[in-house]
Amino acid sequence: MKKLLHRCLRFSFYVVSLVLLIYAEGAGQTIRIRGTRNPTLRITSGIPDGQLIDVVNTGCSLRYSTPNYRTWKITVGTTCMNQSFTLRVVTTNPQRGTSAGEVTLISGAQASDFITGIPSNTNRANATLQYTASATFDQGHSGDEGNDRHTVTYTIQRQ
Amino acid sequence: MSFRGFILLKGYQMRVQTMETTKIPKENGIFGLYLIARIAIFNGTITRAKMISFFSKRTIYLTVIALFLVLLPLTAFCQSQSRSHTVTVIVDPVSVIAVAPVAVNLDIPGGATAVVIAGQDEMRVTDQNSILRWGTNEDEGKVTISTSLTPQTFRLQVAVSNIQANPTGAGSIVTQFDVTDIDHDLITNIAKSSGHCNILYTGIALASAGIGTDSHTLTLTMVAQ
Repeated sequence: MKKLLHRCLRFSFYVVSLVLLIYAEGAGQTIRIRGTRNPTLRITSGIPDGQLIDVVNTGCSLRYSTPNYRTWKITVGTTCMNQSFTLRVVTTNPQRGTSAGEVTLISGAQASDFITGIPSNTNRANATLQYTASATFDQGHSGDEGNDRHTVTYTIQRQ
Repeated sequence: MSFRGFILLKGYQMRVQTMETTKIPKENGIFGLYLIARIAIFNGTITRAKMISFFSKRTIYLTVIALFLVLLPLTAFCQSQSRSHTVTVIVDPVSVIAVAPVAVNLDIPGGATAVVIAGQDEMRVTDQNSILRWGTNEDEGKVTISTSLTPQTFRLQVAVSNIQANPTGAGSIVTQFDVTDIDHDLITNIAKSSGHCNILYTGIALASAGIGTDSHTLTLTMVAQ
């Protein structure tokens, strides 16, 4: 009976270790979207013999943290039913890591690197999200094509 | 009788294999093993404590394997974290138009530079330096023109040329016509596009009408056709 108890204790140790492992891997890195929760970019004017005027929104930002090991990155991707217009996103001032440059969000495309080289022990760093919507005259308007409603997903993961 | 599940626990397997005369169908599964073990205990082949130990050990192994199978994929999943939000892009109907320069003078001069031809009452002067530019994301647009001046002492005619659009859909131009205070089509069938064209103004005066100045404010409008 004593031996059985000993085995039970050993088994408990394994389970606790496994839980701690999961916690260390999963709970160390976090990412949040702050500011205007669901921004809307509305194109209302254009240039004769030119193109419609881009609209920029900088009302959102990312806040991210990383655990005390490894280098991390943030990727961005989108899904949008019947995408008609162009949506781009860039961050120019990430507090930690390096901006991967402007990303054109294309529905269903593989997620693109957004911020790379985020070091370990990053604690609540911020990066402003700058969305730019653009369209050409020949692409029509939302009355005919419908609004482009993107679900933009940011993922923090090991680099 | 053959219970290969005992391979992991060789010691117990040997003991149970001494019970070959005990016919218990292996469809009984773990319960069959339990029965064999009970018989073994009854026969004194193994002790009750060892049987409990065996089943406990087996339970532990199975539990640990099950935990790993379930939790390891979860561990891999937890190595990333995602957040999403909705970004909506709306494009309003936009039709824009511009014309340059803002003022055009059509002078029918007298004196040495007079355009009057002896024996003819009508004098003409033209200007084709004006450029009309547009852009529209609506289907089937047109450009109209009208003047604020009525009545007119002299005639003002207008026409367009060299029409170009991007990517296509430059539309159709109408033939030269007199500008009045009623909107008149200048370009029709403009598709979703942006483009430009030259505007040709022609001032026509009759010598018999004498001298004077007609000051027009021309209004060019882009509307749905």
